Amino acid sequence: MARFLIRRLIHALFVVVAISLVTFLLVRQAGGDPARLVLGAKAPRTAVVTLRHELGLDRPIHEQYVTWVKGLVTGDMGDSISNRPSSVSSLIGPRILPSALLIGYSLLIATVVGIPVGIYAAVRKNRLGDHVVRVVATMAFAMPAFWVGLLLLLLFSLQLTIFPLAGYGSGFIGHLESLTLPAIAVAFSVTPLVIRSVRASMLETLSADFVEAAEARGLARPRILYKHALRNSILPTITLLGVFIGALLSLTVVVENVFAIPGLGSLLVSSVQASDFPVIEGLAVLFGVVVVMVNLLTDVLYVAVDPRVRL
Amino acid sequence: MSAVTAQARLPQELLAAATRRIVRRGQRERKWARVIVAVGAAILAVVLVLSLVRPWLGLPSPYLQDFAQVQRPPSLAHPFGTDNLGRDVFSRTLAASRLDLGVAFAVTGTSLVIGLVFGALAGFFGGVVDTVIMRCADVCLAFPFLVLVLVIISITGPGLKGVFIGVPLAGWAVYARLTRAEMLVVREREWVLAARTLGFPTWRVFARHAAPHVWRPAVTYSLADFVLNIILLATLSYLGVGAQPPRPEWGALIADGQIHLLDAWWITTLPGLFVVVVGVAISLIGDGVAELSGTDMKVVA
Repeated sequence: MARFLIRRLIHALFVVVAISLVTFLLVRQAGGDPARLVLGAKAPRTAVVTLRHELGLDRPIHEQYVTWVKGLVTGDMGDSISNRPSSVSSLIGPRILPSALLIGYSLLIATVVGIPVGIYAAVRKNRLGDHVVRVVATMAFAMPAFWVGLLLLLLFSLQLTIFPLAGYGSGFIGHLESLTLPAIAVAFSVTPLVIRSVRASMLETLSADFVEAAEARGLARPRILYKHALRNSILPTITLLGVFIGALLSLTVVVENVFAIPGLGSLLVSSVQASDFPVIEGLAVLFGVVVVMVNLLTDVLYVAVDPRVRL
Repeated sequence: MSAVTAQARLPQELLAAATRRIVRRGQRERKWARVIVAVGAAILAVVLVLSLVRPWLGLPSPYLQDFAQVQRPPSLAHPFGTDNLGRDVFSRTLAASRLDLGVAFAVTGTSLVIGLVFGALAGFFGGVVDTVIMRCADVCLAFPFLVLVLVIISITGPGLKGVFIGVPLAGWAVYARLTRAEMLVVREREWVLAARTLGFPTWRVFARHAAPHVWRPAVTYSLADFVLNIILLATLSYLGVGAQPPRPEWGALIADGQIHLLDAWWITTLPGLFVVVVGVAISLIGDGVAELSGTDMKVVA
């Protein structure tokens, strides 16, 4: 167990360092001269040189990287280019909560809908119910999340005026109200994946020896399903989160832009449009670290929860 | 069936009956999978033919601005209605399918080929080769897909160039993982061991005996990935960083209708529905092929 933990931690650490390195090299080296971007194309050369020196851009590349990483660790990611006086962390900080709420909300919807439906499809394998679930899931999978978001907006905000049009609302209830439609839009694309995985893992459990043994002993079908099979397929669904976190983050980036939610995704898109490289760097590292952390947590949780997995 | 007749049966007969039942069920499932593939292929064929013969369908040009026909709801003359500049939305949707399907096909194909090559190498040679390739894949998979593509577009600037570079760079890793897992199995198969025993050079065993047998999981996954890439393309141009106007593109068409959502719902709704139909058609082909080839897709997870 301890050896597994250490190996897993080292791997996660390696990936995090690689993420920072890739981001740094990609954006800093290929993205153009930040000093020139700040001052504009018409600025005199001397001003650019002075600013380059101020920003430390005339130092060797490895020194720049070390300075940048030191900053990252302490939460200092430099200054934004397009919002000149504000620092990157002051731009990112207040946007974490809206994004986190949206992710949590859509995850809640996706699991509450996806797990029972997946179990139902497995139990009714190759019968009408299973086919209906599969057709609906295939259609939902093919729907672009931003299109679903726009349709929800049209139906529930513009026509029926049940939900607010866009933004983030105020107060916790206000946030929830504003985030309901975006969360449904994200869940639309994630739920088919959840259904598919739950169905597969449930089918695997249902064909296991102990289920067959329970059937042979003549136990009632519901009892076999809920006491024997369900308990054993809960565990694989924990690891689902690690698998889907990347897709979930990508989808929130899109949907935040549809509903004008002041989250990390809308900041990322506006920064890409404005070539605000320090902000892009910071966000790329943040997103990467979140994925690595969630994967690490689900792996460790899996080992910790399942008494059969002893490493 | 009474208990007496059941007891009278010989065990072999029972066994044969069970085998027949299982074989028949397998045949039924395979037949169903073929039907699914056929339906998907038929829908996709209709879309492809429609978009190829569009210039001869008598539809207005996708670029023609007719200010006498602004924001007309769907009708026989304009099946998807017209937009705020009087352009025919159906004509634009069909014109966009050339770009969307073509680019999505190209980037999916590129990711597939890169992933196949590196996955096969990693699985076959193991050791340092394996470690280096798979750690690179880990890093690519650590970024959310859209975030990595957006970062690359921020460097290349908005447009299709970023898509062509970014999507394969982010997308090859899944194919590599699938192919590596398959190669680990194929590497130990009898004919590969036989080739090794015969003393063939390692590169020959790799290229002629092992590599030709590892493409199945990756190719099966590529159909699902094709759908995801179509959606990704639409998403990027919706966000304003993908294909640039005035070229008709599905995501851009949907975005065009966003500000007219209440008074001209069709501009956003119908092109999106068209994308869903295309996506479902390709997904059906993918599901059918996965079932027919018996590929286990769990490694993606």
